[in-house]
Amino acid sequence: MTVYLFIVALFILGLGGMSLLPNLLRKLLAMNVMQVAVIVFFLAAAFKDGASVPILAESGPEGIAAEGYMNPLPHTLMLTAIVVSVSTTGLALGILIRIRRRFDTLNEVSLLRRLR
Amino acid sequence: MRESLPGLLVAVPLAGAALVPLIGALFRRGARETALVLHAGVFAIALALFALVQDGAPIAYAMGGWPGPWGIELRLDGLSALMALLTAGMACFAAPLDLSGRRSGAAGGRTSPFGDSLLRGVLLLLLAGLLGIVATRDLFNLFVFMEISSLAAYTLIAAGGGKATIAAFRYLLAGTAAGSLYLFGVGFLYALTGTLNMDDLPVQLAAAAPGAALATGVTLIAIGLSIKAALFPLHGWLPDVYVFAPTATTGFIAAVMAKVSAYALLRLLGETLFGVEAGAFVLDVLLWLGIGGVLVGGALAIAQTDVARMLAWSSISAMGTILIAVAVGSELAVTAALFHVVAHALAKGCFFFAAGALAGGLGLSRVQSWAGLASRLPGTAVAVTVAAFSLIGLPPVAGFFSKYLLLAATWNAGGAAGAAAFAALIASSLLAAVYLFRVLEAVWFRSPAQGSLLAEAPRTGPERLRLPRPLVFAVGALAALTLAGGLFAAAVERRLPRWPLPEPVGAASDLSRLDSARQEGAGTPGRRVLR
Repeated sequence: MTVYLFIVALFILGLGGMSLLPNLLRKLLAMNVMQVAVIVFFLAAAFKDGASVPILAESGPEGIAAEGYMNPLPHTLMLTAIVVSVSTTGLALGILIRIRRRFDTLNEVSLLRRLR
Repeated sequence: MRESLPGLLVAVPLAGAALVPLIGALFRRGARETALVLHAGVFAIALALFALVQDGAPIAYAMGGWPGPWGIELRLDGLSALMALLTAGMACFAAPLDLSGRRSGAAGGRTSPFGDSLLRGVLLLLLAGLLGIVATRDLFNLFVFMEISSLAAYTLIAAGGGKATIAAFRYLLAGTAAGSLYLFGVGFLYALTGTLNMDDLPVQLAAAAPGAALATGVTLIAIGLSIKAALFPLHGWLPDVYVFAPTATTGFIAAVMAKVSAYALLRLLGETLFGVEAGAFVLDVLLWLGIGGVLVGGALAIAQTDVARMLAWSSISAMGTILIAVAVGSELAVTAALFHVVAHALAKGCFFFAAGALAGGLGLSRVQSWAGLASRLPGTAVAVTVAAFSLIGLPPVAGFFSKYLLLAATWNAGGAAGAAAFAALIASSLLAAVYLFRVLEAVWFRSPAQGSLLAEAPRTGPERLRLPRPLVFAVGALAALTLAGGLFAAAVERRLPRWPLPEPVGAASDLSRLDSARQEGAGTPGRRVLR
């Protein structure tokens, strides 16, 4: 249960940082924190006490004991989510470099003033 | 062939996204032509699917040969085929245009052939993502396609350079927050049911006890999709994006992108999660937010002096309108919503292409600077007028009939919410009349200001003002379609899919369980009672 409180705290920390921090690079870091919270959420929900990775070790006469294994799907999903997260971060850094070169600042307040 | 069409619908633009830059890198030419052929091909596939599903039977494709609920199923029914056709069609108008957003004659010069082919690849990627959202029956797959389309959109917007990069970054933050909220919500549903399949989920949910976890999951999904659909008050990212993105990008994403997210909301809340108590509550909230968005968007559109920014606020108002109809959820309301989605996409695409051509090519971005447009660019003036009529909801163009159906649907819905929605729709048309007649007055009844570009330009001869040819084609064709949508409104309305959708063949046993679960909940789909 504690882990879920930790996840929610992490998510809110990320979301709050994205909206409150003034520097765009810090916002991006906060965004990563938020994404990690969701990834940990899936992994925590898939965790089963005493269960092992889903690689067949033995199968008795009654077939495979499913309760001895963890569901591999959430982990696979999160591999994809990590790929999405990495691509987003990469693109965001590329955009930030362009913003920095063009406007010489990453402070949101002064950038928004240039936008109006 | 018939069964593989849904797969091809996504696979062709996805493969094209890699192929087009490759051709650009290897041959330095031919990339634009290849992209155009691919766009036409995708449109042909969407058209074939739209024609094939008219008999009511959806077409399903099991990815990798794994059938649902274990594998990822792509399925096109009447509703998704219509959205796919609209998306692929709008992409065809954006595809021939210059995607770099460099103003002609401005410093920086032309993009390299390879850079141009990269952007054309990214547009195909955006199309693949949007079509994937429309076709998929898997909740996680929906997330992946949503992020593919969003990443492609950020790239195309940032390609505008300068201020567009700031708008793109702020959109990226909002869009990623939306995606994470959605994924968080999907996590709750998956932990509860152990399935991600949109057909299997309601069956499993019927067995699960409703609780706080289900309500949290549904709410998180709704908030995430509402940000992507620019629903008030989560619309903050939209105006700057529409104003600073390159013309071709704005015309395309303003026409379809937010609407595809609204489609996902309808699919999930109106179909998969229908009968879930939290889902019904979320729809009630969405109805009031839609009313708020209609009024705020319309009021702020009046306050703008820049044409593109005015159109952006008008889009927020339009998304509110569509969300109202989705939340009402009756058969008539969903038909009206789909008609409005099509009518608004055509008219707003036309208007944004015209506004972008005038602002980008000629520097005419303010409403006042359009004074006397009719005397120098009569064709553009007529097209803009048709689009404006449609956005206000005046006959004989498409927007009038969609507004009429929307009014009828909200009137029939009854209750305080239905009455408020009805009043808000009337108010939205009046507000639109205020801000758009201001434009039309400048275009038709004012003469160009002394010394302005329009005043200096000769009316005839080789020196007269002209817009780039692909833009003229896009603006003209979209205006013609808007007019045709109004003149043949009855035929268009007949072709719109009916809601609730007919049950897919072969899944009847599962779905009968689902239906009994629904009856115990809040009634059958399409019979939502407004509070």
